[in-house]
Amino acid sequence: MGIGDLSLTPAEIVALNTPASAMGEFGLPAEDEERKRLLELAAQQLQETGLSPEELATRIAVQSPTPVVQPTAFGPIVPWQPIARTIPGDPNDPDSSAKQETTYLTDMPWEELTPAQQAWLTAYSEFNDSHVARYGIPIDRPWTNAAQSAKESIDARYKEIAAEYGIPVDESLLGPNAQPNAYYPKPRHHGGIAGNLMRDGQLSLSGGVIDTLFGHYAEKYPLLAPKVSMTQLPVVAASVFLGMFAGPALAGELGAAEAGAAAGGAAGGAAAGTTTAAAQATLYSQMAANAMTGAINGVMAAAANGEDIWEGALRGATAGAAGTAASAGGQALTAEQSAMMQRIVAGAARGAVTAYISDGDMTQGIISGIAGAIGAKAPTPAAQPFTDVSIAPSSEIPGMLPLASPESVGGFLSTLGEAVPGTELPIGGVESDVTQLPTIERAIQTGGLLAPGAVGMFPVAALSTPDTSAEEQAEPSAPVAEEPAPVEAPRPPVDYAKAASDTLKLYQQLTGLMANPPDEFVMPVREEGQTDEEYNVAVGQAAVEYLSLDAEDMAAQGLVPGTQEYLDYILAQADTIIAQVFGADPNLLLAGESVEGMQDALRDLSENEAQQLLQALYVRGALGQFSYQGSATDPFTGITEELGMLPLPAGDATLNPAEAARQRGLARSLQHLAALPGQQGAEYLRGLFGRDVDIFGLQSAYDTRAEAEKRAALEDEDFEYDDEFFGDEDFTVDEYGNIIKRRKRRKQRS
Amino acid sequence: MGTLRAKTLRYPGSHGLNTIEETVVDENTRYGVVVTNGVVDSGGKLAARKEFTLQTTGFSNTTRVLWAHRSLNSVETIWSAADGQIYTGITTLTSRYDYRAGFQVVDVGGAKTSASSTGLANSTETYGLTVSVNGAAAQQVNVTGSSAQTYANLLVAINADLTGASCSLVGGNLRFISASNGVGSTISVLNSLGSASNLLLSTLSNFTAIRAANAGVSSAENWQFASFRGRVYAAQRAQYFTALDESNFTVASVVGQPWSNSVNCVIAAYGRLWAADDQEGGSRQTVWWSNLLDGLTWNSGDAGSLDVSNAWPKGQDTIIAIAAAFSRLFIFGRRSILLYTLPASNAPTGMTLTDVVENIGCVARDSVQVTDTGIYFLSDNGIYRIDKLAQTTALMTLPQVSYLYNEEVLAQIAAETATNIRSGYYPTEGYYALSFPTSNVTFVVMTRKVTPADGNRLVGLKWTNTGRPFYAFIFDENANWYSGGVNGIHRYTGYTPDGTSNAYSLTYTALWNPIEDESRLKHGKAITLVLEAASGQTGTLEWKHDYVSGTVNSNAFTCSTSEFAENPGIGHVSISIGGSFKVIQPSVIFPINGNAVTLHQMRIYASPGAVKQG
Repeated sequence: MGIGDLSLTPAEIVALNTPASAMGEFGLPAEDEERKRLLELAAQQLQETGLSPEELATRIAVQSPTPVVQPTAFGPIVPWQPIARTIPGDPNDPDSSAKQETTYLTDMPWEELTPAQQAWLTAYSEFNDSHVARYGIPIDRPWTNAAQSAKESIDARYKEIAAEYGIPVDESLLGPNAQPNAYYPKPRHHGGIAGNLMRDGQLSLSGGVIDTLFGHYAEKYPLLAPKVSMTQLPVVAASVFLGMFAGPALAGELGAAEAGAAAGGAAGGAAAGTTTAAAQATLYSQMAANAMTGAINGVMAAAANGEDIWEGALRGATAGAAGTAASAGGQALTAEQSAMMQRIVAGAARGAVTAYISDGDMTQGIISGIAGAIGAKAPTPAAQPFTDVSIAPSSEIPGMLPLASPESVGGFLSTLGEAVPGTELPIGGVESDVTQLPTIERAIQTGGLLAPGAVGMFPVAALSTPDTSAEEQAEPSAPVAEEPAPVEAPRPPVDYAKAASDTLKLYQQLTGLMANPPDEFVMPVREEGQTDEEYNVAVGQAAVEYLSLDAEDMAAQGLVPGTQEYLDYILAQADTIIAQVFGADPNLLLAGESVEGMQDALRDLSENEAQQLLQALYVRGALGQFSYQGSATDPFTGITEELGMLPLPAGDATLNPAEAARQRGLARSLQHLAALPGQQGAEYLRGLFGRDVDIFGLQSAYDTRAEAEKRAALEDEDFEYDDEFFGDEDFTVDEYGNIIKRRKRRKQRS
Repeated sequence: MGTLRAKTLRYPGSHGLNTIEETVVDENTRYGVVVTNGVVDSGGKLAARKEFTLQTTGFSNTTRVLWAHRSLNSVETIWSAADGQIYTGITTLTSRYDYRAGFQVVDVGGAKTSASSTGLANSTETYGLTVSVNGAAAQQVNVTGSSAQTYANLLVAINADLTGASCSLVGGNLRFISASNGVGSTISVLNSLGSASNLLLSTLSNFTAIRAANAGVSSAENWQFASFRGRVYAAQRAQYFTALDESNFTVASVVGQPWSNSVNCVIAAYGRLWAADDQEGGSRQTVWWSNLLDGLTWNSGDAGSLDVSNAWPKGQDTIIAIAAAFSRLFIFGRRSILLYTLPASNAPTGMTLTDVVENIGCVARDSVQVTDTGIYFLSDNGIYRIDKLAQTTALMTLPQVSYLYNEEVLAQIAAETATNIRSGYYPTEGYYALSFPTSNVTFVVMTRKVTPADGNRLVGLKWTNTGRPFYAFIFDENANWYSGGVNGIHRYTGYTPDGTSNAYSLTYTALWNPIEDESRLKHGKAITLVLEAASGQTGTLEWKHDYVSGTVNSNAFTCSTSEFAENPGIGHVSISIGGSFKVIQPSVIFPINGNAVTLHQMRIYASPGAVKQG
């Protein structure tokens, strides 16, 4: 019996993954005949497959389309119960008077609460604390059966406390809609959830991510951990957030013309006009926004279909982000490229998550995933299919269990509203604000799918697990657009390598990582009759393409010239090309040289020149310069470089144009290096290492001034000498004692 | 008894103020310890200044800023600011921009018209925002998407829900403005959906940001204007950076303003606008420049900025003013000055820090005047000039202009609010005027008149009057020099005070004069003045003895019709003085009312007495 033959409802899957003690919270009986039957069935499966129960659950293709999450069953949600409160005036201030304010139960001073309210809050807090302690997830809106159950528990406990203290029960506090929502989602809840997901519960790390992504809220809630740049996050954390927390805003309309709208709907919307800076949006945020959108849809779709939510989130996030990449810089992918990209991205994501789950090497996982996806269509089976990558037991993933539960999904979803207010998504074919609960409900009802346009680009089916055959794939429960036409014509290997490189960069951008690109560079096929020179040119051209160091290419990846990330990318590519130049022909290395040494030397050169530029800019008073100019002069070459500016909205300027131009100049040098045949390339590189430029002519200007001052000083000395010894006479003597005129003497000196 | 002696003071006061030398040392000098309301005429004599005569009719407010705008079709217009409005005109002031009411701009990318699409869903979806007017509770504004597909409809829908305020398209952006004026007039727009289903503002197409709210004012006229490519730009701390069309005076949309609140400095130079000093936004070290030839665009093209935090010579400073001259950009800090030299292309990204000045900065933005001889400005240490730089390698030299009367300048700095200080330049005569309106004192530097002190100190005088402080200065294409003041704009012309309360007098007080020998007693006889005046011109001669400040002798006089028959003409006035003294300090005061007075000579007659011993 194969895994796909198992027919379990989502609730049953949950049950398989849930300890008996927690069953009640899922609205399921702790122990009954059905559960026993399922466990026996699972045990049988486990014996056959060697998988753990959790693994089994994640691998099962659910046959039943019955959705687990039915939020509408609990009626309208009342997240807040506003309370009008009177603040008395200051008795010592005759000008002060009583004021009215609207507050909430949880924000009321304790002494102003009625005994019933105090009791209720006590009960609520007790229950919530235990819930947070157990799952890292606060109780939020009554989305699910579990929340309903939780509320009932709160109510019961409230009644107990009320009875214990002789407090009359306030009926208005009872029932699913009377929740005061003391734990209305705040950014720290993201941290809580994230920490729950991550190994060792790295709350500070997750807090940093949230801080970075949700800076607006970070300012509002100072309890968040100090900022941690995404680029500083370890691979594991980035991978997790790729799936679940990749970005603050939104997908949908990401064409160039709509960039402003996306910005407004994204961080700008979140900022809600508070500051200009908060309204900034970059390609990164757009892509991250799409990742978030995808994650939302992925989670909801997976939940609705009983699939693994975790994987769904990753799939969705990756697909969403790829959607951004496809439209970034106005370079829409063709349908063929798009389809291939979908597979690649899906493979990459699966590879990444698999590597993460198995505690393996993330980059290798990505590459494997990419390779697997490419291998499905590529004529050269250079890659390892995804099926070869095993999934480690989920027991190694602390916190996995709660998120796989319906209420945790609800909890997660409910946090999104706070995270990205004003964010619109094409859900169910309609642009909707995801922070609005009816929107989320609609999304769930419609299968949580992207709008037709987006679905057309990234159909769910196309993103399905590559190792699952078409026959094994379950039909999605909600309507989806048709999958694009399959790619029939084989493509040259270099194209796939290029695509793989691009995809990896896409992943790097998503995660903020700058992992080394794949070491493999597929040499172009030498055509019949091609001379060595022609072939070298072809190889060089392929290498240049492989490097993707064009200003526009890098801009399309969201890299901002002048930033450290930009430089890191260039240097990473430099490592590759240096390895190609010298690795292909070790004879090019001179005595004492090594590939690593050459790579280090280039880094040293870059570092030294950066320092030199820093000093020069300080002298020129130009350290704090920003510009929107699309080009600038590389101070080390004098060449005007197109910087590859991003289509940024107001408030964003490129970093110091001189540094940006320096980086572009370095990229230009590397492109030139890549196009040179071996020996020439080696010589060119050595010449580059020896570059010593008097940037801005500072040294020569200084020397000129110093010389002028020196000459002036000498002139003064002469005058003093003349005055002292010769009075008004305009004579002096030369080395032979002959009298010479001062004018002649000056001429001699000059 | 000794023979009667005479000591002649030629061209008294024509070297201007000198408060650092109390007693005459060099009898060839012509300083005065008080030289008020005078100028040094072409003959090198001290003469009465002209009056700033009111030109405006029917205006009861005080004009505090003046700007001469020369339009693209060569029409020059005087712009001014008073009582929370910007005006044009001289005899009649026409309000062109009223900022008395509190307002807030919602930047939707500019260029929106009534017919522009809002971008809202054409459905029954509701969109909301909240607005607090004059500090009251927030008002909910709800708009149904289908009924607000254009901005015309959107404005109708918004205004239907607004009380005490309105919303309109100004400069292609939404502007919410209070219906009341003055300090209590405020607007606070929030992108909050309130009871609606969706956020309204951030859903609008091309929504960029809600700009900082502009509180209502009753005054606040510290604008700095700049004219550039058909528009007049106005910058003032805590006021919305505004661009007005020179023809129809409509507000133009400024695209992508990079500062977070408002800039206090704006100049036009080298093909673009330059702005600086966003104090409210907490950015007082940054200079921004617009796109080339486009003063409305600040976030594209070659627009950019320069944070000079790392360029101050002594750690930290803040920008007070910026000026452009001699292919340089001068950035005046409070305690230092940065000199940037632009490249041949004038590209700001290529400009380099050429020189810095430590310990001399700028007190007031409006004290800076770029003239044909250099840049004058007010520092903590007095009035300075940055000499015109003739060569690209030349560095800044800063002669102190107010060297001879610096104490008086410093006293005025201490008594004045920096934002009230104004300056002007009258190129016809080369006057640099620096006004302290609160104390009604204006220092006027005769930039073309040099004193003997140190070879090149410029003659400095003091101007004042009764009830007509000089709030602003501007010079126009017809060689008219204007002052902003009470009841509008005044022109430098004639000698008749315009109004009974506006009186001024030419005053000259000589240095203490020992008449060659301070040790010897003198018996005073008379003082004779050689004047150019009209018959009937009155005056008062005052004199003090022996450094005794409390005792002032005086004698009034009137220029006789016989002596001044030429009317006006040159004549003598002799006033008897008595008493004995070792040193004497004569002073003469001429109320100016219709005619000029020029002081040619003062002669002191006295007979020598004994040398006192013991």
